Amino acid sequence: MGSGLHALRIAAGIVLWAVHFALVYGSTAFACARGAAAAVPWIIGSATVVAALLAAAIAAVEWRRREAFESWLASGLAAVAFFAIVFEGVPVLFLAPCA
Amino acid sequence: MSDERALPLPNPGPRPAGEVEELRRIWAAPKGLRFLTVINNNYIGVLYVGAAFLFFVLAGILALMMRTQLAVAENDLVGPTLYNRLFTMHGTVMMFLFAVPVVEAMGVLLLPNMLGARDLPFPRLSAYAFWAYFIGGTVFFASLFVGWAPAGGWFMNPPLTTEYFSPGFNEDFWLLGIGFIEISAIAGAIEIIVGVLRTRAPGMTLARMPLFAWAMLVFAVMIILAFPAVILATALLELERAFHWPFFTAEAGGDPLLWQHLFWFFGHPEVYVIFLPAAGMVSMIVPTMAGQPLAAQRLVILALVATAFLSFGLWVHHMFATGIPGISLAFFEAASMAVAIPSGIQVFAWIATFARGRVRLAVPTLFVLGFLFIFVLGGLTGVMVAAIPFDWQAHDTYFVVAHLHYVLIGGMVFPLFAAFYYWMPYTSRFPLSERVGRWVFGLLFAGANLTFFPMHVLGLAGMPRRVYTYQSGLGWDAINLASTAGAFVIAAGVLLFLVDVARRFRMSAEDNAGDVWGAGTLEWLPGGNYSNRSIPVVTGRYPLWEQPGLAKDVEEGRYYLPNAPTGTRETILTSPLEATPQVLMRMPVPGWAPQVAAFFTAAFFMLLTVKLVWLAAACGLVAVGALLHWGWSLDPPPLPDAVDIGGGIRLPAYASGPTSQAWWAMAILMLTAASLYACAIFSYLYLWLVAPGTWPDASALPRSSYPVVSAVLLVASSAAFGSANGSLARGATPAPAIAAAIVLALAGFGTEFASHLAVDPRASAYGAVVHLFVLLGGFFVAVAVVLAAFAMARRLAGKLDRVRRVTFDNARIFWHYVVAQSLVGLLLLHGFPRLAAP
Repeated sequence: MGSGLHALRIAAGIVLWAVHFALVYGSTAFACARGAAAAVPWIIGSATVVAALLAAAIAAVEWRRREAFESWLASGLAAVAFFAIVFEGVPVLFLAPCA
Repeated sequence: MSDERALPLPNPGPRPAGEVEELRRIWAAPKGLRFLTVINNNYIGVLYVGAAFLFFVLAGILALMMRTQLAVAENDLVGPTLYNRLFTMHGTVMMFLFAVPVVEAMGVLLLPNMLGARDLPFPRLSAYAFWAYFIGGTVFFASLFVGWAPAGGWFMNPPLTTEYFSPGFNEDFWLLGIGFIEISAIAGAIEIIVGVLRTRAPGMTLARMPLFAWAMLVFAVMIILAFPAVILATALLELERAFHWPFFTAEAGGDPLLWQHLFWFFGHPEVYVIFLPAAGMVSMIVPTMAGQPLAAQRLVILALVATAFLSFGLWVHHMFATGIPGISLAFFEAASMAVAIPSGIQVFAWIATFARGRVRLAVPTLFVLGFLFIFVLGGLTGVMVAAIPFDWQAHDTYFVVAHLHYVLIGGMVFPLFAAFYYWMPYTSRFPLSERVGRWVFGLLFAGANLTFFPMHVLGLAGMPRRVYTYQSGLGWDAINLASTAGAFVIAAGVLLFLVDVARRFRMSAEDNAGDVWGAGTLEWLPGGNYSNRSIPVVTGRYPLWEQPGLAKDVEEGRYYLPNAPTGTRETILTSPLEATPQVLMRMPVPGWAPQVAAFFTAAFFMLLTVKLVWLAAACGLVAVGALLHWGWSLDPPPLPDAVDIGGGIRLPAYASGPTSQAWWAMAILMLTAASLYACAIFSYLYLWLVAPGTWPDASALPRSSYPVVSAVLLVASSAAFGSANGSLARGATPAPAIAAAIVLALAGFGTEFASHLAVDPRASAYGAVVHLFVLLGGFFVAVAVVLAAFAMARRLAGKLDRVRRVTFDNARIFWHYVVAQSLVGLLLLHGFPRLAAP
């Protein structure tokens, strides 16, 4: 169904953000509760880099088709997701894990 | 955008006489006592708004009682017990019985006309949602008069609200009452999503859709994703209170913080659930009052959606003081700051629109300006409390009370008053008075600032929230007195508004005051109970501004569907992106089933609260019976011929499968179910994380043959349903295969049920959460079985065949969903402990 595919494309950035958010939050809670603090920066760091690159790629691909409103929206949402992912991942550079 | 303006009219010629009269007759509201069965969106919308406003006034009176108590130090007007009930009821009623219902109500009232539809796609569902909410809400509020009102605060944190610390019915009223009213909110959300995506006027693409419709779409999706969390949370707490399943009791491996996670996973998006529709209303009012299209419309749409999804990453900022690791808090701090950006985009778009046009300073404009001032202040203090070090200082003080009232009054109440003034001529014979309106605005604006601005200072001076009195000499006296005076100024404003409404509001669809503002969107077309005489083709964002003569052409029936070709209520189903006409959808007429179902659903939950279990069960059965009776009239017989709606377009008058509205509603319902189940999985993993010691090792688990047998039976039941589908498509009877599917599924569930019999749900959080999954699994299988049996009954009654098959298809997709969900449950309950065992 065409509309289902469109909905998925519009939501791609959002889904990526949600997966990243759940992953960094869930894995940090798990690692801190089970005494694996050392792993936290690596998990968050790699998840953030991968998710941010994917979000940027979605934004770029959709931007090329931006005459269509749905693609413009998909691109914009992926761009917002990119900034949110980076913004939420940055604290790992400054804070001690599990403190 | 309006490049297609020269399109020929679909029905250019003169229309035969009597068409309008027939439309009027078909869409007329029932008279006398039968008026209670009314389902037209304009009537239900007005009743819904009125009921919500009633709860606003009631909760406001509670606030006045609290402010009177706090006016002077060591006051003994209201004792601590009543005070606890007052603030609990004030918050609960404002959030659950006013804020969410009133925006949903505005959607029901405005959306069909704004989209160019005759009504929302499921009018009886709106009626059901309204009546269930109104009856349930009234009983809930009345608990205050008999001393049964909850007292645990509007977010009901355990352990305070567990049976040990709060015995009696009081907290149960909250849990069952509010949990059930959320179900009605979900029903309304399904209605709104399908309405916005499938009943737009031809040509109204997503980019041309009015911003209020965008906001309501986002609002409804947020409800679908967020509300199941609070429904699950209330279920868990009720299970703990009634049956001692220790989800929140630390000694048995539970954790009170689980409640906070679930509650705020709902509770923070809730703030935006309230704010976004209000922002949508503002985005409709500002262009009209500026005589200009909204600036940066696409960015505003982007901002709406971005706010919605970022708001799902904020919930822990209500839990900054609970001892979660600092780096986790930092994610939420970052998200809380980030969400200010899309809100800022909208604020700048409104200011830019005003700056571009000649602003008409009518009462709606004043309320919008008041909204901008108060909401921006609330947003700024929001960024302050999003900073963790500041939050630790301000937590649980009046600073937070000030912040949240600035956000909610600024972000929601002021836009709502703007909307009342703006849309009154749409639904009433007379607009509200401009002169009185200026006074209402002045009183509300001055009152809100006088009440809540001093509370910032009070909070910084250390006054905690939720105290029923305070000592003199702490520097709080004068500030509290000022704040109380402000509360009465607000009350005067609301009273004046009510007087004006009583004088000027005369509900009318036919001879409403109409387009007094010179607005650009479709809800201002002339019309009646049938909405518009004919359904226009839309070529831009502001059709009334861009398409000259539109109102006259619509009224003369020159556009699509100027009549009622099938002789009953109808509207056009269009495609979700481009709004191309697909189906002529026949719509239901008034009947008692939704009202009866709503009354007995409310009775079921309320009687359960006071532990009248058998009476509750009887009411529940009546409710299910009424729902089935209602369901029986769904899926009307297909009509053989396509119907001409004008412009050479002939539409089928029957649809099944993915083009039908029923399929969409079922898909959204499954999304709701998936959200609920995901919250349950989160609860399981969370409890394991905090207390792995209560989890059994592999030897104490049920033998692995249990889940294997259960899984095989469930998959076989899905296969059987698939074969029923094959039979139906060949024209044979699907009944035997459905019966086989039912037996297999029940056996599959029974196996799973039996495998956990040795675990005591009262002994540990592990036992409790395992039995929660059994309970959920049983509930979903039971619903699927009822739907399947219903389809079989339709077959026996000759109402199900290879063409007329909507009830079967709904049962079928739900069946496969339930099987898939149960398999996930088996993996979690039997696989995870083996994986995680030390």
